[in-house]
Amino acid sequence: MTRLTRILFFLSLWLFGWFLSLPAQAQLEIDISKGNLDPVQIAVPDFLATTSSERELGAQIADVIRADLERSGLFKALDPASFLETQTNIDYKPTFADWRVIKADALVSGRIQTESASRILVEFRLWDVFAGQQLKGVRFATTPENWRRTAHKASDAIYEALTGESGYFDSRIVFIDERGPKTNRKKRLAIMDQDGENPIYLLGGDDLVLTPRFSPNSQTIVYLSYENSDPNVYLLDIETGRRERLGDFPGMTYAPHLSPDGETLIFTMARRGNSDIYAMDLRSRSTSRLTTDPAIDVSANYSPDGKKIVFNSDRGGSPQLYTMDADGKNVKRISFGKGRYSAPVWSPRGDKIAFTRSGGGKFGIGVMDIDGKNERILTDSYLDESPTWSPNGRVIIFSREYRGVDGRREVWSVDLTGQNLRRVETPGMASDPAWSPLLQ
Amino acid sequence: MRRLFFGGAALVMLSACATKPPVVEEVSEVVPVAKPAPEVFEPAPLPPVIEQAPEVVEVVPQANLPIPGSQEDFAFQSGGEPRVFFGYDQFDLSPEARDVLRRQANWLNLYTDATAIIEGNADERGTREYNLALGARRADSVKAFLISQGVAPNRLSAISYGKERPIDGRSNEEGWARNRNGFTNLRLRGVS
Amino acid sequence: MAVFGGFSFFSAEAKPLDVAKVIPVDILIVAPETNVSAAIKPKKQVVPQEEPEVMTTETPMENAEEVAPEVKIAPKEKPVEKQAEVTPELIEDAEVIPKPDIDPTPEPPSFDLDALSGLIDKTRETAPEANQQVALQSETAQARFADVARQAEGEGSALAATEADLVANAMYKCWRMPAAAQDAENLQVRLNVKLVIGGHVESVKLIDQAASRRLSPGNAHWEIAERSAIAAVNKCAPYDFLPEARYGVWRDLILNLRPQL
Repeated sequence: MTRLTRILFFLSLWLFGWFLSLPAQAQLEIDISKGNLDPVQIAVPDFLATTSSERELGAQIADVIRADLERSGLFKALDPASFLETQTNIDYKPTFADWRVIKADALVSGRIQTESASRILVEFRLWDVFAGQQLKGVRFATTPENWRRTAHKASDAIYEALTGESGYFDSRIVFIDERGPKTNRKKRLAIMDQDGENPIYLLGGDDLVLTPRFSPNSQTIVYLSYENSDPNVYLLDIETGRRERLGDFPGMTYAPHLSPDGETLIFTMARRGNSDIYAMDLRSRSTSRLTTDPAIDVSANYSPDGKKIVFNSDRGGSPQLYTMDADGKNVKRISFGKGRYSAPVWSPRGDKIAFTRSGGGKFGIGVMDIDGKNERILTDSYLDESPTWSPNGRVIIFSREYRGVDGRREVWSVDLTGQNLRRVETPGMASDPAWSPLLQ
Repeated sequence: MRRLFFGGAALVMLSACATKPPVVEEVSEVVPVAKPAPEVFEPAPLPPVIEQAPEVVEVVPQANLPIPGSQEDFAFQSGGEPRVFFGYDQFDLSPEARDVLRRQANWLNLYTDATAIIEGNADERGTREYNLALGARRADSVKAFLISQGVAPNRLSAISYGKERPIDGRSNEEGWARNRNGFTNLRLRGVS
Repeated sequence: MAVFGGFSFFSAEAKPLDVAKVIPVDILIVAPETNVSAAIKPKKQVVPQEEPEVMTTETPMENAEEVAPEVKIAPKEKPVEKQAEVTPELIEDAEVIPKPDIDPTPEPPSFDLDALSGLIDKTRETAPEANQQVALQSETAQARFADVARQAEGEGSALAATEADLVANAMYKCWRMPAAAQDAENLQVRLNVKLVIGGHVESVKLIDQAASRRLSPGNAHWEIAERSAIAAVNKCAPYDFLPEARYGVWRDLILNLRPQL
């Protein structure tokens, strides 16, 4: 059918229907455009268990899940003290009425069983309380020591079932741990779970280390180290601890990032004072220069499909954001707002770029479409910088530095929408966070 | 206090996991630091004001003057500290900075064993990586000028610390002005 | 706040780290309780309506016992991604909310109507006449056609606005808009809600789903949006604030949930 005949066909049908329906003015049609933006109220009772050690684990796991979900800002974990029903077996349907009374939208009922000294089963069912139906049921088999990761995996499964997006809780953050006064500060490479737990130093503190970034498999980190007063990009395998200096160039190399396939390193080299962007094939070690401008070109990183690069340049007179193809062609400026732009990072979803914008004595984190449209500033302080995306592209964490001789540095997080601004717990002062992909 | 850091020999493990005691690997005796950290600076005086006559080249040891050829001497000849300062987002050398660098060049031309790492620094009002680029420009300005004054290029290297090595903690114009600098980090043979 | 113990001297070779000992976590899918649902009521394309008396009964999940061993057979090494074999069960469970491409009631007229109104005049989508067409296609609505019409006629449509306002106000509290979703404002959901006297929900059905979904094709959040719209209707019940005398007006409603963030 051509478009015209189709329209005519529909039109006649519609007219026919209209005539038929004339007397039926009654069926009330209501347009509803305003709902609330309240968080999903979720009840997570401690996981059921038999032995006391299991029970302790069950309480801890439920704790971690509640905290994960709450931190996302999309959920409100109800106080277990308000629960009316105490389930004794998660294979029975819960008494939904009891959960509706306390206004729970969703219920997670879980259980822990010990299979052997080194193997436990952690399982849960996620219930839609108002529909009275199970949304998800998952069982994990793991070792008891691994309960925390298991809890994060459960949080991810719950988050995904209730929001439609993949979660980000089973992930890590690598960052620079900072100690001491502003004018004599010790900086060390460290890693922690996404919720600030299990912080571990990855390197000794002798050398200044900056700007760590994860590889796509979360197993290696590229970073800048000032070993032997010869600043250069290094690669660290966090599993084996093996370190490797990447390349021997006639200038300082810094601002490293890995391509989404992990096979190309993109970085900046300062030669005779001029910073340009280079890409190195990690297998062949062949290096190609991507920018030749006499201006500063820095902070390059790839789009998730590996085809484009976003970077920072002052070729236009002030630092602004640009994109180019992976081979350096087709350079386009994308930032046109007021102020100076830097530290762009492509979202893992591919549709946004986060950045730092400064002006009027303030620095804030913002996001824009990849063509620079729909710019939105999410935060604003004396010095917010270094944004990095959660694996699902919904949350941005960044460094916040305070004015004054303390120069306190912290890691903060904010939603893509600018909501839910909160500090990320770190063992000490911290900066330069980089979020890993979801762990495997 | 939930977390404690434990120092280990080669790596430091930290754990906040309540059920898992912190793993401490190879807790060793305190290992003496091999060498004094050369990067620790004393706070320097305000941007250099050159009082003395600029044409003095030969260094005459005097009662309260530093030993010729020493780090202190180099700093003294540079006007208190071997550091030159830059404007906001600038990397061109002011006349004052050129003066200081001429003295540095003279000194380096006299003591030809010495080498130097030129460290470019930026104030805190910029993002980390951009400031590394800015610092690299400043370091290169200094290096290029010293070379123009006859210092052999292979005795000089230029690196950038971006905003990571502030010498003044104040978040105001004075503090920022002092943190935008190029520092000539002298390396004397046999010293460090 | 932290305390450093001693100095730590970093040698050129970093040692393997504790952090790296990642213990693999097997993920197995717990038997969904869909069989139980099926036992209670036949599987439907729509979220089950409120049946409090059934819900309060503890219903054993008969299948759990059987399926659990079955699950154990799965190799322990099975990585997360390899859930495929078990996934069908999950999908079965998820079927309660219709899948994107399966329009439960692919009735050409209503479908065409939406397409047409989209083509010709956006405002037609909200035009009452247009919606009547939809109402006609529901057998129940058709059956009550005369009844509803008669009831409403006497009272006049101006008064119907009162019911609409009451319901819209109530929904503000009950309906959580899909704010977190991409393209959220296009996640529009159309529901046919039938109420019994006293304001309890007799049924709530997704209607014109395929047409709605064309507003944001392929959006991963449709299911969530639809589920939360249906949940909102259930959550707000009973609609006892609606005047019983005018039951004829509100017994059969069309709700258009169009999030404006």
